[in-house]
Amino acid sequence: MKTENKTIKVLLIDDDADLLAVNEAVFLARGFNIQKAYNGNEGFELALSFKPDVIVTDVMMSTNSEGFDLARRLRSTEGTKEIPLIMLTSVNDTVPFTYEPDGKFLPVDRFLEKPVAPETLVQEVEKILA
Amino acid sequence: MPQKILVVDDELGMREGCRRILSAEGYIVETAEDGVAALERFQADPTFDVVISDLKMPRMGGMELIEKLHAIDEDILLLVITAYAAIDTAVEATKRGAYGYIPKPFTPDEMLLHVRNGLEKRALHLEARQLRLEREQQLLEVAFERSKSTTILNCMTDGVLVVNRQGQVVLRNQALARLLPEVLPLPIPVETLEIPELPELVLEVIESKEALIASKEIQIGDCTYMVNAAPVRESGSEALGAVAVLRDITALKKLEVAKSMFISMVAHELKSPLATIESSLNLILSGAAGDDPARNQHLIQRSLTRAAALRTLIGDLLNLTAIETGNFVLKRTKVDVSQITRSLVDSLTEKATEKGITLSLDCQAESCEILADTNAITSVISNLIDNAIKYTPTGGQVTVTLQCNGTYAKVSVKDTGIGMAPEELARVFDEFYRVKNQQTATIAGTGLGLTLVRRLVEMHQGRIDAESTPGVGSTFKVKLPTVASTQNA
Repeated sequence: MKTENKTIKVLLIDDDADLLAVNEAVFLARGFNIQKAYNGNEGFELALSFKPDVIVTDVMMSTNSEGFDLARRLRSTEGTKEIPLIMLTSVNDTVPFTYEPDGKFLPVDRFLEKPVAPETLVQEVEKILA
Repeated sequence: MPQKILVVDDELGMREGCRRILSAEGYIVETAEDGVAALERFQADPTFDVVISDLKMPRMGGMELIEKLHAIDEDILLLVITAYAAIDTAVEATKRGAYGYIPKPFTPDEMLLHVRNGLEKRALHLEARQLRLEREQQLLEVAFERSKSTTILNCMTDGVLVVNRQGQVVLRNQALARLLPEVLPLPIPVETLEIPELPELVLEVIESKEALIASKEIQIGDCTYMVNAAPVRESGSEALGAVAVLRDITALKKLEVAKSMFISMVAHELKSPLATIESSLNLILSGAAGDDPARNQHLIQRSLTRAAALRTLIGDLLNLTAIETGNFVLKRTKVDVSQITRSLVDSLTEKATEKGITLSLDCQAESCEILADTNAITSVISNLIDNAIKYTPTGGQVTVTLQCNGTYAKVSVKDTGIGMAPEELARVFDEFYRVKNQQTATIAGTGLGLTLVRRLVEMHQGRIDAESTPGVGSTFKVKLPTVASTQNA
């Protein structure tokens, strides 16, 4: 399992450096290859250059919808549109999350409400790649 | 009450004869010997019901007297006594206001008949007039009431409309006229108003067996209305129709949205750091990433920092709320800004030095007095210096300058920090706004510090400005009116 994980690349995007550090530590301990970004723009650039297997992003950063804007951008860009996307948010129901109306274009593969236990996040990433 | 009769004749015999006949019937009788005497008597006591007058008399004749009396009281019963030969004159007298004439010679019964008939007629006339007056008064009152209710209805800012059982609008006030085309004469079907859901609401109220009051928020164009509909009932019977009141609650709705936005921002700002603290503690406890004591120590240290920032955030929130609700009271005294600034620079030097930053003070005034709340001004200046230290990397400089002229005290805090792009600078005083990038990610802040600073400065009639260049640094300048300029103002 660990040797297999070495090839798995995960991009973590959050404006909270402490949370990024915590999540990074968990993934590194399991042998994942990790890159971090602190906002949507940095995240998008890294998605293109780092070519992660999974992206884990926060929703509310500089703007309330920064995570969603990033998701749409990734989904409409060649090379990033197929990358599975996990979204973490600390506000689950008070912010109006908007999905595309046709249902075909759901920018997010999985929603998780913070705080996410370290084990859970790793399991979710593995589940998506299985 | 007996009726009063004035008999006017120049012949004493006639006067006394009439007095006897009429007194015997219960009338109160007075006499006068000619027109002048009669007029004087009448002016002294205008309560006579009947005047019986001869036509031919010295000084003033009956014709002139009738005319004068009629002019004074048009309801008085005037009878003339005349000879057959003077019928034409008698007819002329009736034209001038006499009720009738008693041809001479006459028997007592003939005279009484004339008097009784005349009085009866007069009573009827008076009664009819009384009724007419009462009716006119009532009509006036009704009209007044109607115009009063119309005025009240039309002065109301809420739209009011009345719909009958047939679903026809039968009344609407002016506030509603904005929604209802004025040109359409009432009644019109309620559907004509093109107010969504209103016809159903009104119908529901009219057909309900109970005294139902239905309420609904209805969107009309860009505006939101609270519509309350109630049945119009006569006691116990079924509803005759319904009254609907439309209140524009658009502004209220906007406030509601702003409030819920604010609450969800607050929720986010409170939950995020807590989630991070929980995740950090979880990581240490579970050992999911091994058991590195140095890293665990760091995680605990960061958790403490985040917890402290949360506490500050809650304090800032409470202060902002107090300012918004007017419960934040400034205790203004003479405050020396120069002294406050010096002491703040002193106390923050250690924090700056720890981070490898040079904090210096350029104080161009020995003392600079303003009329202010010491705590508020201390909070403003310390927030600015603290921010400058936070957003300046190791090796940088923070310079605090104090200038004081007769009009204002100016405190500038200049740093050689990471700076801000124009779009970031534009939002820097917004609630919960924080510049988010790799450089700022580890900086703990509430996003409310500068919002609070600006509110406090404005409460002191001061102003705050910010300049910034990315990679070069930022300068925040606060101007506060001095004691001298505050007293002159």
